[in-house]
Amino acid sequence: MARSSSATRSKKASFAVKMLFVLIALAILMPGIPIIIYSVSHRWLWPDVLPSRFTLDKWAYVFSPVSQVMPALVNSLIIGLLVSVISAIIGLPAAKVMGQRKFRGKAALEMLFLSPLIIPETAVGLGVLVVFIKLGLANTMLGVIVSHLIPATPYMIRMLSAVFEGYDSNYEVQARSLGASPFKVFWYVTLPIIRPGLVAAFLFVFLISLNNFVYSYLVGGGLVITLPLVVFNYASHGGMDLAVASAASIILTAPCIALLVISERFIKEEYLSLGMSR
Amino acid sequence: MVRSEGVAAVPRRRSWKRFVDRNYVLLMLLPSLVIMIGLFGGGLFSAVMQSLGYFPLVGLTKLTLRYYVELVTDSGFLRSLWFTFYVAAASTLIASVISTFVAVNMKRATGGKWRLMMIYKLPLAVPYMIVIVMAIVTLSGGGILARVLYALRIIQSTQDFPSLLYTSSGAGVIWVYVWKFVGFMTLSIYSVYVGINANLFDVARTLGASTWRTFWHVTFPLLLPGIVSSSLICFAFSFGSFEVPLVLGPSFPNTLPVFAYVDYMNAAKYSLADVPLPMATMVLTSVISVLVMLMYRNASERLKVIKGGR
Repeated sequence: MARSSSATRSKKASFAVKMLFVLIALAILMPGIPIIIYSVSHRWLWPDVLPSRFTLDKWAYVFSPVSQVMPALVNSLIIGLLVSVISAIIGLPAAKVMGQRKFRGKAALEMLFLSPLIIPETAVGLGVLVVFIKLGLANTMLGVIVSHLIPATPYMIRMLSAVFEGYDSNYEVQARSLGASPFKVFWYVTLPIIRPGLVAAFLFVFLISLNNFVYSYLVGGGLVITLPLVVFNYASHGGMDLAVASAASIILTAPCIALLVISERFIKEEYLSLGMSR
Repeated sequence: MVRSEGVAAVPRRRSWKRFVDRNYVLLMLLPSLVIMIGLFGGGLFSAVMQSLGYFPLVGLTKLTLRYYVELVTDSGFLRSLWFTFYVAAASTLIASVISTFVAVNMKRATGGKWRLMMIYKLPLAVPYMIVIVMAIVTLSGGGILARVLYALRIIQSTQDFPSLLYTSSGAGVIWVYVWKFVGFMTLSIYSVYVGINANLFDVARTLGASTWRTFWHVTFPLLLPGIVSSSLICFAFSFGSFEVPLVLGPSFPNTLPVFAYVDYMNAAKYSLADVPLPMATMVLTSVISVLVMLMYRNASERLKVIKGGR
């Protein structure tokens, strides 16, 4: 008797849990739907739940040369690519010693590499801005690239040092003892071993740059337009500009979700949570 | 080949090599230190110096705490500080409850199917700016939620729909943070949860503990360090985040980064001598974030102890 009642209770409980899971899943998925509808709507007047007419005009506009979206996309790609390459070159040697060596001050360095994730970007951004104005870097693409290195470099180092932690440096020793130059050792031994981790780090840093708003906004000063800025511009106007903002949003989100799916299969989860937390 | 360079070249090469060997760690770290200390540290240093009244551009060169005193007695600053705390605490608290629930029941409710589990990780991948757009098209007076409620005759006009965006309740801002944080916190708490020795649950059950009791007395204490450390990260993040309250927050009082930004833009436009004030605001915001980070370090050290003891 008691057993059967506890069984129905636990059945009821697990049904409630499943319902709550469905509700939470809906709360996560549903808000994305109006963005998709907006991007193909002609007009969407109150109180229509669906627009009366659908059109691809907004997409045509987004891809036309008169809209800001295409130049912003190009800017974002250039900035993201350069930030990833530069931070990889800077981060690789640091990650190697952080992952493989024990030395004095290592714990302090770990804190240093963690701090750009915690200290508000606005504080560093406003501080950097004044210096950049003096150096002529404000309102330039170069300035935006340099400022993106602030969040990108420590992230690259954290990800790559995790790769180097599980890496056997005896291969390098063997190559060296066989007479390979340090460059050859790096090119033919180190690089092939760390390549999967390096590719992952590269992609995530690219996304960090692609999605950065604060540094682009402050240092770019509205003159260097990137994708998040263009979404911001259209979204803050409201009205039918929301349709353009929606189309641009989809362009910006697509690579991010693609990466989530890829990383789900191929990349360790902790990278993901680290990278996406900002 | 090397030998043909002559005898003198050999010791020089050796001394260079010895120099590299001795300073290997430092040399490898050097490029990143230039970024971290030069750029990041330099940016912070510049903000700190300006907040102390060092701004030679307009002839301010004497260090003073005047601007900090001015700030902490300014009601605008204090109200923004309170709003920032409220938004950060509310969004972190709500997200931690939802995430703990999802993490603990994830395996059972989804049957371990990765496609289903991915839904709860989706927020990790969506950029903040997009979540802001989602909030506008969903929660605004003319948004989809109001339209659906109207179609269901639950509200009679837009006036009946509560304003969720741009209000001092901060509902829109909190909604965006909760939506994003649930992805991050679920993942961090879930990774702690799968590390718990499953025998403990069996032991609790054979000793007669109910599901609820098992959760409070076994699962929750073991998850706590993970919940606390991910909560602190989220709290520090929302404390310093800029674009969400910039777009969705009220005009006043808004969060400290927006308060500082508005101050800074006004100063840049009308009176450069006021630039130290927004810098002081951001330095104080950073100090709070650093304190939270130190708490995070404590929490994550405790987490390591638990994971290590497994």
